[in-house]
Amino acid sequence: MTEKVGAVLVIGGGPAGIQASLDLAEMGLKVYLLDERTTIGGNMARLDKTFPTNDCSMCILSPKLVAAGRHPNIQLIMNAEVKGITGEPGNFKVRMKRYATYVDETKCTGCGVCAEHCPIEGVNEFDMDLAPKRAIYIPFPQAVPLVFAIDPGLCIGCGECKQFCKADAIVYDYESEVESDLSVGAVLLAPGYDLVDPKVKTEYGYGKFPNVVSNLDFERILSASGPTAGHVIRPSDGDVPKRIAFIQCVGSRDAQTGNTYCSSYCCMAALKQAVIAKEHTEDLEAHIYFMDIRAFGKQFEEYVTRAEEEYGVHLHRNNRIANLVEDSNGDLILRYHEEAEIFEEKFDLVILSAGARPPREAKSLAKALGIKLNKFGFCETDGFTPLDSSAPGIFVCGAFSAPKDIPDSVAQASGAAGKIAGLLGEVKNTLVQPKEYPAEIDVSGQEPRIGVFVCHCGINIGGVVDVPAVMEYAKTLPGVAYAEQNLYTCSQDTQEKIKEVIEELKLNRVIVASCTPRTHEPLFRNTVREAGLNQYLFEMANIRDQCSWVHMKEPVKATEKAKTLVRMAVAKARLLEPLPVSKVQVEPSALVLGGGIAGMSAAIAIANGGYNVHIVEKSDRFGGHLNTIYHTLTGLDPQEVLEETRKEIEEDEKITVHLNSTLEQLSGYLGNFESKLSDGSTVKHGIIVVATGGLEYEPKEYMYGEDEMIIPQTELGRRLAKGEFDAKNVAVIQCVGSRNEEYPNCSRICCFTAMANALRIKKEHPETSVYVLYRDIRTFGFAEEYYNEAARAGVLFVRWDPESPPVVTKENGQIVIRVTEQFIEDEIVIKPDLVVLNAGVRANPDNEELAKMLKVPRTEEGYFLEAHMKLRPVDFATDGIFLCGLAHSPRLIWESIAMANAAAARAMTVLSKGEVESEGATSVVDADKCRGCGDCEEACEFGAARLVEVEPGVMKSQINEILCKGCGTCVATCCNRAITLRHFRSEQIMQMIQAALDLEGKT
Amino acid sequence: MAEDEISKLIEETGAFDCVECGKCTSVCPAAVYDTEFAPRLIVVKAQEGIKDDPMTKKNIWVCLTCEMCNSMCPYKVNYTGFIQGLRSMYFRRGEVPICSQGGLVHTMQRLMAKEDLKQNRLGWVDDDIKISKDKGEVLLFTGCAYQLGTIFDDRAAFLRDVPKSAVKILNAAGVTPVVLEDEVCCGHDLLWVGDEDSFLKLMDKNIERIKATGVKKVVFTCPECFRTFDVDYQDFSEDLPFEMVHISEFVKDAIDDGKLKLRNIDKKVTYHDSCRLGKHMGIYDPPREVLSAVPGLEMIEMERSREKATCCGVNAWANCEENGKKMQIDRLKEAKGTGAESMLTFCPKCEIHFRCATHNKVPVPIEDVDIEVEDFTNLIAKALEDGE
Repeated sequence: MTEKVGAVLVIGGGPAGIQASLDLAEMGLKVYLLDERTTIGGNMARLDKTFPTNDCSMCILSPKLVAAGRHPNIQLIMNAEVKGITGEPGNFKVRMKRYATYVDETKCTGCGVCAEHCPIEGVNEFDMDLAPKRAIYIPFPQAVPLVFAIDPGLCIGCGECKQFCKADAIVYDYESEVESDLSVGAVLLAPGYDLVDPKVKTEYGYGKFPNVVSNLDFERILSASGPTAGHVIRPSDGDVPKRIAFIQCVGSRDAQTGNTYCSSYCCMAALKQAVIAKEHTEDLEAHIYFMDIRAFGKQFEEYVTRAEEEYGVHLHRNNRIANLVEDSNGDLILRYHEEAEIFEEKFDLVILSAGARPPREAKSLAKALGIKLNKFGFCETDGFTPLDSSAPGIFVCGAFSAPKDIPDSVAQASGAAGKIAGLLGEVKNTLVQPKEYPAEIDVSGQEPRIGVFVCHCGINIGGVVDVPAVMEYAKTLPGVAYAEQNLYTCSQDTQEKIKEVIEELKLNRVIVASCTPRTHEPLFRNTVREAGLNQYLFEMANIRDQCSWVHMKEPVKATEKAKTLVRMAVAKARLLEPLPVSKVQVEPSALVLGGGIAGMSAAIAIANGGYNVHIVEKSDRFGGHLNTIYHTLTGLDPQEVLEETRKEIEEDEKITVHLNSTLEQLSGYLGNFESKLSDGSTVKHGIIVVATGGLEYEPKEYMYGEDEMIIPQTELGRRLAKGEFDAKNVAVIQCVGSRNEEYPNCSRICCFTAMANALRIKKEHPETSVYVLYRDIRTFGFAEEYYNEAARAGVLFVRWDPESPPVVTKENGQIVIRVTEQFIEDEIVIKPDLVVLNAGVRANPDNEELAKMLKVPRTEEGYFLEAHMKLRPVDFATDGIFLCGLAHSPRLIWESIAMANAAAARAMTVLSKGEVESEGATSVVDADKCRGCGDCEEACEFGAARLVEVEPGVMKSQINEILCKGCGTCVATCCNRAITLRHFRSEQIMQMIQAALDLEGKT
Repeated sequence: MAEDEISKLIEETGAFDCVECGKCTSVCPAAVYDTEFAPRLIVVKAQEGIKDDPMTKKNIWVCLTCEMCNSMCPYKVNYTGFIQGLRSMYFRRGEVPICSQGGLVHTMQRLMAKEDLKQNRLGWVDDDIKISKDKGEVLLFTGCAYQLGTIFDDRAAFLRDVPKSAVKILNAAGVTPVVLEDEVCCGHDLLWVGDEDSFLKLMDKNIERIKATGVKKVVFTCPECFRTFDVDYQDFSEDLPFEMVHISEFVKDAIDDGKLKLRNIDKKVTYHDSCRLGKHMGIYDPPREVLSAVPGLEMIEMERSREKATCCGVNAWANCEENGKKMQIDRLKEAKGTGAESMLTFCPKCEIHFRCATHNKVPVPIEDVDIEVEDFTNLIAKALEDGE
């Protein structure tokens, strides 16, 4: 067997590729993150806000971009593509081709002077061609890597940029393309999706009518950093639109384009855009024209209700717009059919909700890597192994395997990382070395000797701020022992210079006055550590964003402000103190709560990664809810998978099984948990995976329990599987116990179940009539095909309105269902001999007790609440605890499995390190002042602050510095000022304020 | 109505794929004027098997069968075919529509379906043109233009010239066409009012008689005959052993091959895509290419052209009423608005219906709609170079 390589190639730098790269890198694998573009971020970087939290997309993505960009184990390979592969799982050689950007990435500082002087203007593809870019450009300001690139299609080779680049980064005579090989153990595909070109739907006039835009165009129009600076205006005349319409299913659910699948995200995206647009323009009227509203995700249905009721977004069900007509004013006229009437409406702006198509590189990727694509051109995967491509050792995540929204993509990304960790577990940490730093110099008792480095940033700062003057001013400030100016303080040679000066002049504090700590603080902290200083003896003043950028027309005032910022930094620096970082050993084992398919899959993935696992199952049998499911929509038998998984659990030596058992008591924290189980055992473990599953709702409605002809869907599935089905006339009622007042959200799986059962009935008993009584059909992704197939097989779909749900009665021994078909507004009477209630999913009632023990939050419906709905789907805010499966929210089987792999991967990022480090800047409680009120415990999102009974009847707050993120919320909450946040102590802040107010600079 | 008949129809027309999105209905020209009419409701109700038969006669006869719905359907459901199927079922039950002219045209067509009919089909043939009555390579199917021109001589007498124009064109291109003495109506109108029996009789006669000539190619001027042969005949019987071309395709090819030259006509024209030639048969470019080959002729497109072209407002004489008239007036306004002197089209029905709209009182100023309606085939014949 050939030797395995501890490196992974991740193709595609969207949120999925980034998440997978970070997880793999944290697990000790070397990562090459390759993207066709010149920056990472993918389509998510284009989005304005994200549903269902309305978080700013860039605000949540940018930290991930930065983290991937600066991770020592991740190497970004931009503007490149893959050409071929040889080798086998564990040891591949991948041929890749890089296209020149004509900029030396080791020299470019991202200052942007080149672009300012470039005389050529083209359109910026990132801004959906709505904004200009120069021939040398970065696509968006937060770009990672922050390296400019020349667009060879635009550049005329005039030499202006080269002349002005003080960093000498521009190299015109690079080879235009260079091929090379990468040695990796595994490949992960995350190239995402592309938007269907709305031009193919000629009836909507995209590209012809200026006021018809795509959903991604509209994201850029909404975005504050977009082409209109966040002003919602329409393209033709710059007017503020007052009436906008969204047309759904443009290039989705559409046989004309061949895209008969559902793109999964467009319904929610349109609702979000409508809501955000209304926030921009209060008296705006937004209409959405759609077929079914597919709000199947966690808390999505509540979002729909809010959009409709709070924001007054108009929803037009069962209406796909046929075409648009433009009038002389540039307004658009559309017609739709509602309540047996045709209405004609005029809109200022129309947004086409364009669906997803495979990424444009799909075919070349498939050819280069020998993977199969499905009939739509997306990556082919199998039912229960959604993360495996058809080629062993090549994995897939995100929208490339099927259109999906961001949290599902991110969960898959972590899941794929987990699978790769299983493959390459034994060679982790072979290609990455933890960095060694010199012993820290003891600066205690020393007078402050501060060094100040002021950055010109080429002319980016120096062109406005008088940098020499700032430097001279810094020299005059008390405590400053040295000051200098640099062309680029972040350049490699300046780092060496800083280290020399620290050593030579025995500096014990360092200040850099340059750009933002968001991107550059880690670099400088690293430099001072290399010189033997504690990293918290470093301080930054942002004289770029806050001076040269915002006051570019007022150089004198900008310089004054720069001086003030430096004065403030010096004032704080005088009080800086070295902060120790505490480390705790991580117990290299896991506790998995729940023995359903999610818990079992997580346990196996962690065991495959080389760690011991304790799996705790309340009942006497593994399998959970899956024990009652006999066939899936795609025709697979889950019982086979379940049997295999059970066997694996039982045979794996690393897994200890605790059946008939629950968690009784939990102590400890990240890395060092100790649990007492009801079977009497005590287990030490480093992390916890919560996979406690969910339950099938027991209906109270539709005469359930009053007649044996009325059964839940699991019973129907069982009867079909066991050959006990003999009904001739079946009525299936959807949304039983879902989407109502008590339980507002969608249970996600029931439409799939309905199709699976209906198709099986029609296949095995073609003479049986099947009615499906539904509100919206939500067969998202490729499952849409099964909806079409069911209709073709003769299944009858009757849509009902929540205002008038079906009524089930028994008349003369016959069950009778009366339902008003919402659409034709007519009553239909069905006389079935079997009524199937598609009962929704309920959160496990045990969650309540468990949440208290784990100190983690739940949703109103009782599901566990993750750290962040978009980008951290399987993490809790409290470190060391993860979740997957129905504990999170209703999931399909394969989704639960992918999520379990994700939770395992996230867990292994902790377990693989052996120890965890705290932040230095954490909160600390003054026990004398603490009166034990517990406000901090309630306020702390991360579970770090806890009240502890220190003596009988006396509670004191204690902050676990391993869990503390240094956010300062507890400090602000504490009514007794008993908590201090290190590095942001009150006297430090006060000194900065005084320095800011003291215009003479004498504090 | 038998439920299995409906099921079969649902299957044949792909109506099970209907996802109730409503595109068909919002684009339907009939639904605009008659909001009780909605293609999707007809299909959905049929699917749900609604017992009280809400498919009122009015509903299915309102359909113009223009196929605007088909062209828009994301799932390619054949709504027009669905309507056609329903109409046949209704007809069998004796539920027939009220047709204009007291059903005169249908009567004429049914007469032709009878065995013992003796008609003088070639009364228009004179010495100016060359035809064959039995053998040849190419057959011209003349259709009912001559008869319609006679019935409607007060508004569309020019239709009587169409067959002769067609022969002139063929002759000019070096072709002596076979023209049948015993050609009968193609049956289009009977099929679309649901009279399948009479339609099949006409079909059998035509197929048998054309097959007997051994021709390899049949040329049509009338879009309805063209569609009926190419689609319906082959659906109801079998693949026909001859090629079927529309005269616009024939002329275009002849021009391309250098066999036909057209002379100067100084005129501004616009072109109306009839539903049969356009949406049903997908022939949009050949007529336009022919027009561009006429020197001096300026062609101005209407806003709603090609697959967006609107309907002439009547189908198979079954729904001649006020909404049809509104559609005709709207279309004529649009045509007049282009500044063209005449609106060309191939379909004799369109020509009659548009002429009819302005024949009596119009609800708008006459100068908004008084554009000449001209037969395309006649125009080409006029453009033939002398001496050919």
